[in-house]
Amino acid sequence: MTTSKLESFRYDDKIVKFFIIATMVWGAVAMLLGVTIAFQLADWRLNLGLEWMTFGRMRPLHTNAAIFAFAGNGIFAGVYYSMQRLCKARLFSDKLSRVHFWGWQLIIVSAAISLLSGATTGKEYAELEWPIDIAITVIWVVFAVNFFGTLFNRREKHIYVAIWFYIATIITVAVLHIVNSLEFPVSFMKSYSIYAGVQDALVQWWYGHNAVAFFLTTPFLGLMYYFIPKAAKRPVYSYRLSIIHFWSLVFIYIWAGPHHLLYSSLPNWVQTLGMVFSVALWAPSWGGMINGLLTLRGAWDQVRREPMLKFMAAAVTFYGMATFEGPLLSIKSFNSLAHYTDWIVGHVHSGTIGWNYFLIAGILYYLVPQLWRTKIYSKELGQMQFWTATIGLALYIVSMWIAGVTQGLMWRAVEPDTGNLVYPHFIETVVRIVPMYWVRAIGGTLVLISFIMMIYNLYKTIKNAGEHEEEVFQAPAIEKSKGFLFFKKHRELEGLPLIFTILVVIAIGVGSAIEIIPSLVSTKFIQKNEAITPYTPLELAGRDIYIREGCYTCHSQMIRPMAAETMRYGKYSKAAEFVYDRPFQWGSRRIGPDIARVGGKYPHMWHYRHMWDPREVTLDSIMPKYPWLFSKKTDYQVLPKKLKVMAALGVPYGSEQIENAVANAKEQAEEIIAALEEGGVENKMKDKQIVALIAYLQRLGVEGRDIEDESTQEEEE
Amino acid sequence: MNEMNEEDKAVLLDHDYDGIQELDHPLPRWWVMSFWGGIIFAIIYFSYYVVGSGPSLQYEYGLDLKHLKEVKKEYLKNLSQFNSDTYHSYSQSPEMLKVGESNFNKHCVACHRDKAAGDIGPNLTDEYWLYAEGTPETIFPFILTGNPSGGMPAWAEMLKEDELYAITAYLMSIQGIEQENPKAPQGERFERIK
Ligand code: HEC
Ligand code: HEC
Repeated sequence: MTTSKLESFRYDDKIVKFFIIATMVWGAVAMLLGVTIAFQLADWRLNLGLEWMTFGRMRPLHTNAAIFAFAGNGIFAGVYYSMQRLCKARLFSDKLSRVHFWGWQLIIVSAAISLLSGATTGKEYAELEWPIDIAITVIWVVFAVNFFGTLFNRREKHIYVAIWFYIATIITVAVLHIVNSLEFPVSFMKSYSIYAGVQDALVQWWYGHNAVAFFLTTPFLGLMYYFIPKAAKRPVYSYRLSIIHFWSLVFIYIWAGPHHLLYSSLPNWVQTLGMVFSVALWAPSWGGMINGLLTLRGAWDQVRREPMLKFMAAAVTFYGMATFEGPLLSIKSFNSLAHYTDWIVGHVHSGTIGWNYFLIAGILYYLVPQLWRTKIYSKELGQMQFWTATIGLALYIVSMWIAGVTQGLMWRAVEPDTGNLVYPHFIETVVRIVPMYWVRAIGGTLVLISFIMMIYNLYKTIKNAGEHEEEVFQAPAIEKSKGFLFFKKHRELEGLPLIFTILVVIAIGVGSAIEIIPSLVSTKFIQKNEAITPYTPLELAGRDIYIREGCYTCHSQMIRPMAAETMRYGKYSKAAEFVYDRPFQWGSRRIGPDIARVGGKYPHMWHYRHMWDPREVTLDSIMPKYPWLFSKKTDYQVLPKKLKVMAALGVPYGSEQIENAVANAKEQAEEIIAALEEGGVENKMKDKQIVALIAYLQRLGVEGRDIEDESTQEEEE
Repeated sequence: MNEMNEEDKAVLLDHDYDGIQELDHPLPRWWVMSFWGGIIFAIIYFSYYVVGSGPSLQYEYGLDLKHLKEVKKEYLKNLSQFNSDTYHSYSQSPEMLKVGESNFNKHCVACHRDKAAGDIGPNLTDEYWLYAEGTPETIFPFILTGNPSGGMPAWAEMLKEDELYAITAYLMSIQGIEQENPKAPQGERFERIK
């Protein structure tokens, strides 16, 4: 092997520097957005009555920015840096690297503009509309070509564990993104999901959960395996453990998505699969944590002194914490208490702040001095950053934990002697946790401040750096492997990246196929019910307003089969009720009450006032005002097109209905305005968006009221 | 690389990547046990609840609900018997009238307006009534059941017994008061009993 002669090459470090700068910029933006929406929940006035500033639009921007802009750029910086060194090869193509960089930044900017202006698919962490979805696919393919091209050109026969994780990331994210984003365009920035109701929910949470798995976990584990041994100058603890936890993690993770849908209308067997695989995921996750922490054995005094290592050690610890809490929350009885509450939000942030931010901070403290050939500007500032961030995060996690448990217990509390809810008014449970929203917002502010400290520290470091020559490296080329189909030991497999990649595809394919395909192809799991009719044109227009305003960030539409819940909201939701919902809007959070059956609960006038200013009807409400719904007109002209797309997707709209969509919508608006006029509303309001929204809200759950509960049937048997 | 101890040297593998070396420590025993533990749990749990005869979520819910319905039925039966002694003890206590007022302001003004002058729901201080007849005996039970299809919620399960009596007493205490542009009368006239 060493007979081939030495080749000289340089690394493309400039692209890494680009991504580092982008990570810092978008990190600050994402956290600033997070802090803003945290304060909006503590004091509703901070929604400022502005369309684009309201919680429902800002929250999706925060989550997308944190995941895809901040963590995304951080991943690309770390992967491109480590990839070249682990492969002893320059990145495959400088041009592709530039396209990748600028393409990704452009996607982020267009995401910001479109989400704030209300263009959204209404599916969590996949809110971006179809043109941007296509752009993401293209840029991801560019990344993949650049990555696998580099792998092909490598001068190191075997691929290191970090690269295993990168491969899993690139393949799986591509599959998740494409499958979940399949949608039918209505116009330039509006589309309908090709899946409906339960199917849409299943695909979405398969995606949503695995975005956490393959965007926020596997790439970061890969980065951990490169940067921790490099920074601590210690060997990796256990190669064997790397192999076992890698394969078990990749195989098991993909099944766990349905734990986001426990107690929902999803078929029970899929729910149970989601739960048991989540529990089985605990050990594989901890395998990564053990390997990270034990690599730091014997380096603990360094950890004390070096902010870089401190962040890395803390990151791995928080990873361990979050991956213990995750399986716990997936157990049905815990889930019934914690789901829809702030506990989940705290859980996510122990991951995104504790694991992702901290690991990125550690990596940046390693990379910036390396790349600019200098020393870090101030270690003291780094220490201060660490403690500010840690205290902020602790406040965050603890406040959300208290808020979540409090709310969960209040929702389910029943008086034993009357059988009534102890807190029948949802607002009581909101008021109780508002103080915790303040604590959380302060914690978040500390985290933001800590990040700004780092930006300053790294900025000074870069500014103080001098000029330097680009280094030239030498290594022999490798022989192209021959028997590339057969391997006896894992070590041999590590020399066969193509086979390795195929095995990864199989590992993630099995769980995906078994969970998703039955519900897509079989009507057995989603029974239709004649009582459920498609939305009228006006209701559909209202539904699209609901989606546009991101009401799903505060409201669920999924009543679970639990006594305290059906007493509060009405009969539990059935799969048949959602067959025309594209996208589904079950939501994942109850900052406000569930509204799956709000139809008919109040008169039209109540909603009219409530949307104008929720405090007119519920004194202590924290819901934003929506005054623009009272000045903007409903777009009637697009309705035939919308119905046509829905019909193409299988919703039974006849051609007559499609032709008469506008007239039909106006007629329904007339009925609603007639009722509102009694309360003093002027007739000219009938074309305004508020009327369409009321039409939608008033039909929610009405038709499904008479569908029988399954339990009663079982009892009779 | 930092100094390595003997134990580590013994398991050091002979490759490195960009200077990163790997040890090959055996898997921690507790980890292996929890790994298999998780998998075994998964198999048993799935077998019992899905393949086997474990109760479904809906079935367990049905049992809970049945029990609660019995408790409720008993409670509502007692509650709906208007007790005039209880009522009088409320209507004669200024304190309880205050409780009634504050509860009315919390739960009812959204639809009946301040001092029940009427808005989405009717004026509750005039002599005209749709369902009740201007007496505590008729107002109290109507509040319990409401008329959900007409926009008036049922309050029996939303408010506690003492709150319901207090609100009724409060409503009776403001019958006939002077109102600024009250809602037009609705329903039949029932002469006020002094
Ligand atoms: C910041 C979170 C938040 C957002 C965003 C939000 N809501 Fe609410 N909503 C609440 C809270 C809290 C309540 C309970 C208090 C109240 O009645 O206002 C509520 C109550 C409601 C209710 C009454 C439900 C009931 O059963 O009493 C409806 C209907 C409603 N919201 C509709 C909407 C719609 C439509 C949107 C989007 C245009 C929306 N909400 C956006 C927080 C929110
Ligand atoms: C969501 C709006 C709403 C709320 C809140 C509400 N009501 Fe009503 N109420 C109505 C409407 C509408 C009617 C008339 C019902 C009908 O016409 O069927 C009504 C009717 C009544 C009547 C009967 C009036 C008559 O003419 O017979 C009484 C008594 C009453 N409400 C008391 C209360 C009390 C007490 C509360 C608070 C605990 C309350 N209401 C809260 C909407 C409301």
